[in-house]
Amino acid sequence: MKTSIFRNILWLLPLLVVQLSVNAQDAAKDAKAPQDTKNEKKTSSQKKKKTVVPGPKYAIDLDAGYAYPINTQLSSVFTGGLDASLGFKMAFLKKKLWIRPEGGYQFYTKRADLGESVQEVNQAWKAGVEFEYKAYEVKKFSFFPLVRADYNWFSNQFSKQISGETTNSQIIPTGENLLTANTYSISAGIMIVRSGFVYVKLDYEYFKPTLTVNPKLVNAMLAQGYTMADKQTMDLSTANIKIGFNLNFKH
Amino acid sequence: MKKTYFLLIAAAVAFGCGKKDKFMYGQVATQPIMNPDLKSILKDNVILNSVLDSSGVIHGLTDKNAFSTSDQFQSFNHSGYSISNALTPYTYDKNTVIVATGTVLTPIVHYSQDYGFTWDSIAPVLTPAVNSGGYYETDLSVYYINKQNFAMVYVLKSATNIHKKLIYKVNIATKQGTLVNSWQDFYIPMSVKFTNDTIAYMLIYRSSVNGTYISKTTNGGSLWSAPLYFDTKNLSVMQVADKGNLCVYEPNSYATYSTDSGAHWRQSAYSSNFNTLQMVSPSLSFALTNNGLVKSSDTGKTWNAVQGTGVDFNSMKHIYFNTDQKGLIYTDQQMYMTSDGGATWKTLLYPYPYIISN
Repeated sequence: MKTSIFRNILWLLPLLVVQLSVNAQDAAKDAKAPQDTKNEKKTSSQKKKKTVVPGPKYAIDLDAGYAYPINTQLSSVFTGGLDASLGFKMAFLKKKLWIRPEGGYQFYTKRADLGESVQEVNQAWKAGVEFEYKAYEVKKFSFFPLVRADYNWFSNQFSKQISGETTNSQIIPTGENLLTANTYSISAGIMIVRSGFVYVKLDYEYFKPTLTVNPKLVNAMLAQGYTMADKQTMDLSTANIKIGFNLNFKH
Repeated sequence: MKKTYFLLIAAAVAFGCGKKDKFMYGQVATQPIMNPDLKSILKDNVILNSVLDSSGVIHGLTDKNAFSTSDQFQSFNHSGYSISNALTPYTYDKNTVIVATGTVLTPIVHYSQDYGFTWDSIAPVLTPAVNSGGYYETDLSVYYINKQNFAMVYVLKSATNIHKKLIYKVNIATKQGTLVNSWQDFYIPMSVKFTNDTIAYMLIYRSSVNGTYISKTTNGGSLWSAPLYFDTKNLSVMQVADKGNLCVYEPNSYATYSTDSGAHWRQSAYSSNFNTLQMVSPSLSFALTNNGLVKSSDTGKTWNAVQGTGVDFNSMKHIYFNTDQKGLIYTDQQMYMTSDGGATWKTLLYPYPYIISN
């Protein structure tokens, strides 16, 4: 269990590194600030110009967080998962509307007892587009309602046995996909941006694929005296909370 | 910001957890192939005999239960019975089952006329009684004659090889056994088959001579024809079809056919030996070999392999075809059914874990 927790924490480290580097850059800017007071008058006109000239119209977003299964079909198997995405976004309508083509990854894992312990893994690679609209702004915070549509490449499998076959793993194929689906999902939520750099994203993703069952599994179940459907629709919808960073391009 | 990280770390701990015994594939709809209630006729049971009647009803008998089903075991009837220490093999003829227990000289004959669902047990009163004095061994067999009578055949074996045979005809209602015939010679009956009240065939062998003989009666057993030697091998299983068609074979060997009530015989063989054979009609026979199911449509002259899927023929012990299309194949705890002459087989009974587990 300890190793599992440590492994799961590891994916947070890159985010911490990014955050630390940003903090360092901010500190450096603050240190330079007194030198600029001499040219305060000179830059006052430029400041005025900055308020007029729009900021960057392009940015790269990177976010990661927790996916909470909504439906019992998923929540009865996995408590939670990782949800991450990377997108390149463009501003429209005076930077009110942002369109973000993106790629994502959703990942669930847990230890599974198949006679011998193995890992059961759900993963979905995603490609889609997100629409973010700046609806409200208060102090340092901006609120962006968002909608997203993704195409998903979903798979479920058990990790391959290393120390030999077990009774149950002879029945259940390991190391290959048991359930697969390639289909769409849609999401809706809100993004709260702080100071234009760090943001928190909350969204609900509706994902109800019709999964194709591995014929080997169907045959294995048949050998055990059960007929198993070769297709099954499951509700794999999730509520996601993610923290993210955007890297603005200089205008 | 620290609070956010704390929340994310907590989420990461939750990520990677889940019930170890719940799996995604477990959410896929599954359905048991077989009715779990079949445990009552499969667990600790061995299928002894099963037939498929013309209306599609399967009747069968295990060593503990009789069963029947009209919908291929989606639902079924069964009734337990207890017959222990059988003295004779179970004898089947249509819906009749006969078996004897007790001792050879004072047997109890158990008799069912509904495939084993209900049984009557009688202690036949044999007149005259069997006197086994002077013989080193006494064997008893029971055979179906008709709904009112069955036959008891005694073989009293002598060290001189001149064995005594006694045939009693027992009336079920009166429990009286009347001696029909008694004689002594070198021959020992292997099997007797009554085709009606008067005609019967007796498969016999002679202990000092390799080979098989056949004898026939046309008056209910009081007079038998002289044994006719027809094969050099000892063959033990006899089947009788209409119009004097006979088939005799030995498991793991070949068969031999007669179309004239045993007057003339013709050997019938396949590239693999016959493990079990069923003469469905005078022309049609099916047999299980080590290489699968084979079929003959010309009274055993030629045999053709039936390429079937859905069953491991090598592990099967019995076949029962009702027509050239519909039939059963079964062994101790397995049964399969075909409706296309053996090309495909549907599993009817199988000792799946959920069937035979406690």
